[in-house]
Amino acid sequence: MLRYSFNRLLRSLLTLVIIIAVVFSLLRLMPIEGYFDNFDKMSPTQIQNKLTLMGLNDPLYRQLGRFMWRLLHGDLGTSTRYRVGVPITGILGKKILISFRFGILAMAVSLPLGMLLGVAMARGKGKLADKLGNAYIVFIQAVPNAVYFLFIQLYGAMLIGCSMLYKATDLRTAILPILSLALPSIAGYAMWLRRYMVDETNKDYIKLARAKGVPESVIWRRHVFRNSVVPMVQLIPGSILMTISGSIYVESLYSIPGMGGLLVDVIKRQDNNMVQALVILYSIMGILGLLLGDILMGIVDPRISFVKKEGSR
Amino acid sequence: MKKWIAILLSASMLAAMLAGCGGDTQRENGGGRELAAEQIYRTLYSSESSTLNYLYSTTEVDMSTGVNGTMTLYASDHYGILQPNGATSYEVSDDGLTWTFHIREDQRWYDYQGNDMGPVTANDWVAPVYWCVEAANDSGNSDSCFPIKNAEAYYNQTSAVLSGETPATSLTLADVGVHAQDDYTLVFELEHPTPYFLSILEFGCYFATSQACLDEFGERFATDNEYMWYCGPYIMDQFEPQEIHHYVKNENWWNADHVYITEIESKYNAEASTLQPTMFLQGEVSETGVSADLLSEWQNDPEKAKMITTTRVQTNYSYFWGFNFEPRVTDTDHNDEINVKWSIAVNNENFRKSIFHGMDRKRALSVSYPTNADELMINSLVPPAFVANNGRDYTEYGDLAALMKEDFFDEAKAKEYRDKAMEEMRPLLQARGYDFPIEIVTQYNGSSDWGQECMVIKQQLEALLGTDYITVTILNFGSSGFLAGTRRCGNYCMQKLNGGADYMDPETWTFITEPGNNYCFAYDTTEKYEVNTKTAETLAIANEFFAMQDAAKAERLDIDRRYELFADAEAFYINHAMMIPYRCTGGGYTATTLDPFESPASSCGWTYLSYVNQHIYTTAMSQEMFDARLVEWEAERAAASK
Repeated sequence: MLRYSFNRLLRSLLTLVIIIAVVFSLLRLMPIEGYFDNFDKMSPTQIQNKLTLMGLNDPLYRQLGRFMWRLLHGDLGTSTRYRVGVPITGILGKKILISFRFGILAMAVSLPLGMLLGVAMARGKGKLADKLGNAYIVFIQAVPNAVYFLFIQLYGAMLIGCSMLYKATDLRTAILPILSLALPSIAGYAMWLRRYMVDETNKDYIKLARAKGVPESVIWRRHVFRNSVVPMVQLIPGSILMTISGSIYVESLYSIPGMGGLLVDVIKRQDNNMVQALVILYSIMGILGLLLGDILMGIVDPRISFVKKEGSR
Repeated sequence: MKKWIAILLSASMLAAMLAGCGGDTQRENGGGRELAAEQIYRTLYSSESSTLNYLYSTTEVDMSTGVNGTMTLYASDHYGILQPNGATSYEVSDDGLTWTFHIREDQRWYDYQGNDMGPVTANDWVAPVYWCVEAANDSGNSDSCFPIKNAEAYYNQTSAVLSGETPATSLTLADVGVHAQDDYTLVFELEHPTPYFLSILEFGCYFATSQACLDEFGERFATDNEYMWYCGPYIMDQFEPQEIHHYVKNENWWNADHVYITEIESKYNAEASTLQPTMFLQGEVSETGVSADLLSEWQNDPEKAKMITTTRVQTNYSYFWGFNFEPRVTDTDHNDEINVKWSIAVNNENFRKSIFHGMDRKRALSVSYPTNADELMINSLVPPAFVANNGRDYTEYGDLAALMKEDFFDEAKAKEYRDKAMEEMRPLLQARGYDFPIEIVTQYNGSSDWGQECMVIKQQLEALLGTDYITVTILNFGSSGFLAGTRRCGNYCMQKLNGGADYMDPETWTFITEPGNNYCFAYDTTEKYEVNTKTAETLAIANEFFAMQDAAKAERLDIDRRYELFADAEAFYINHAMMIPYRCTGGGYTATTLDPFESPASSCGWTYLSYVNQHIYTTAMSQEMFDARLVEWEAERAAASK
């Protein structure tokens, strides 16, 4: 498994370098007006000065080389437009922690609840629990989340008796954003688990187990649930890691100073250094998430092996 | 009897005087409202500062800390009159080249925790200029320093060094014309007499900044509230980006007696415009904008209706409909036809005048300002009340005075000009293989209000002048890269454009019309684009206008004459329908527990972001209160201006 992981990481590193080079080059194609707040009133000298200071007047290969060299030394640079002159690691460090905290708490709520709901729906297929669960899933999927997020915020704050906005000093104000983050995930987990479990129950080995008189509870727990949960387990590490990306809408609504919407924001502002840093971060998270997901799947399901076996197909 | 009458009169005069001296008696009840027990201003903001460095930035969202945390030498009061602030007085030499300021003594610097960091001296207005003219600091404010002797030359010298060239000069910072004669005397030497110099002092590069502070924090200066010092009415004690900005009153500021709001708490929320109205009703914020789509709902609710008022009309921005004299429309499937036909049309004065007199500006403005379109509509590029000399408004000078009384919208005139234009243009169009109607492409940035405004104009112009004469094509460009993709590259025929003022003088607006501008391209563009589609007639109008403007710029000492020359030039331009003046800014709808007439009324600079002299009241200001306060404020301002 170690060898497998090492090879995967090497391949991922190559992918990462390609991603960085492509994104870096694309960003240099943006119109230069985007780097200025007051472009109309600036003299050509002022414009050239800024471009020189940002290193944008150098040939592309030299800019890319400089960036890669700095990156090798662990220097992501400073923000040029989002928070001028502030080290990017400092900006991201605070935000990642905040988004991660909310994301993990929301996941801690949504994962068990979603799985419980999925199991209940699968076991009671066609019955009341299944119908109610389906209604909930359809509601969450069909109604734009902006609508019920706003509803939760306006009326939830009144019900709890706290501010509509998040305050780090008032834990009550964290309830509604966590709930908002959890609701769609609960529906997602429930929907997929129900689907996998229903599929599993229709397989021959389950029918054989029933015919052999294996108790229903054992069939559900040992066979149906365990096999159904494998594809979901693969996604869990990635989901945990990607909590750092935050939620654009929930963080916006509750004034949570996390990562939500940051990438869009810095792209709009043409803060190249920030965009590059975020692309690197999200790419690493995505790559690690997939790798850890595969490893976890192998642990949960011993039939999965990362080593080539003789005679295997 | 006479004695009693005399006593009564004296008593009433004394009472009136006391009321007047308090100056604030009326204001302190904000139109009949009670003062809130807690003077804390709470608000939401949706756009985060990219820096607190007021020397670097030229963006409004970045400037609040500089305005409230430091001091300018002079600052606009709530009548828009410049009053002593960091300086107590000034003198100007007879040649207008040397300005000497006497700095207020006993002022101190504080860090974000309120620790004393030393005295404020004249050197604190030298350091910011030095910082801004150093090209390596990339200050957006450097050009505001250029009236100072050698400032531009020094900036160009350091720019040359930055780009690896050999500079033409070898100046040092000591050669830049700003000096501290002693701790409390500051001298500016200027390149030319600059009558508006005092108003430029309200920009970032003239905000007091301690050299010791710049030295201590270096590149980190003002990247955080901890990395700067304060000498103004407030100290920023908390700055958490995308979370909160918090200020507390600086009790030691020289004018602390007129700082009534003791704390300012701005919380970030990307959905501020959506949430703020609800939060205002719940008492969580001190004021909120009321958007056009919420307006009717609030107006129909008896309780909420009492809370809405219009905002004060402001003169720091001017909107106009620009005719593009160098059309490069690229967003349709028949661009060539549009560009050729529009080039013929825009160079025909009768065509321009048919649109000029045919456009019902008030109807278009009513989309966003249903109750106060009249107050916002202007007949000049420089808004009325922007600048005055000895109480005489700029728009009362020269040929502009007559223009201000006109109603441009005149259906009969528009049709008359249309008929003439059709007669003159048809042969020209046919010679190029085309005919009427002229397709007028106008772009907007995705804003629904702007889109509706364009639709009203389209329907109204097409109905009045006929679709056999013109058709208006409205294109939604979207907000991303809007100006670069439309106005600056000439990708439009006629479009709502705008520009802002940098200092209190009509010259500040000339960047919109001067040769080389990227607004309407009404000049010989051969050098810029290697093409020029203007006719000799259009160029003659433009060149005469430029000559008139140059003559006005050259008049630097006689302000009356200067204003008259500028006003004549502007009237000449508008009379030839080279643009259609449209509106000034402000005038939106708001619900506020403040009194907008207590806030600084500066037309340029950043002082309008100051919270000095303002109160928080228990209830919102109604439109009736606003109207009454406006009448009162205008009378007070007229008296104060004399």
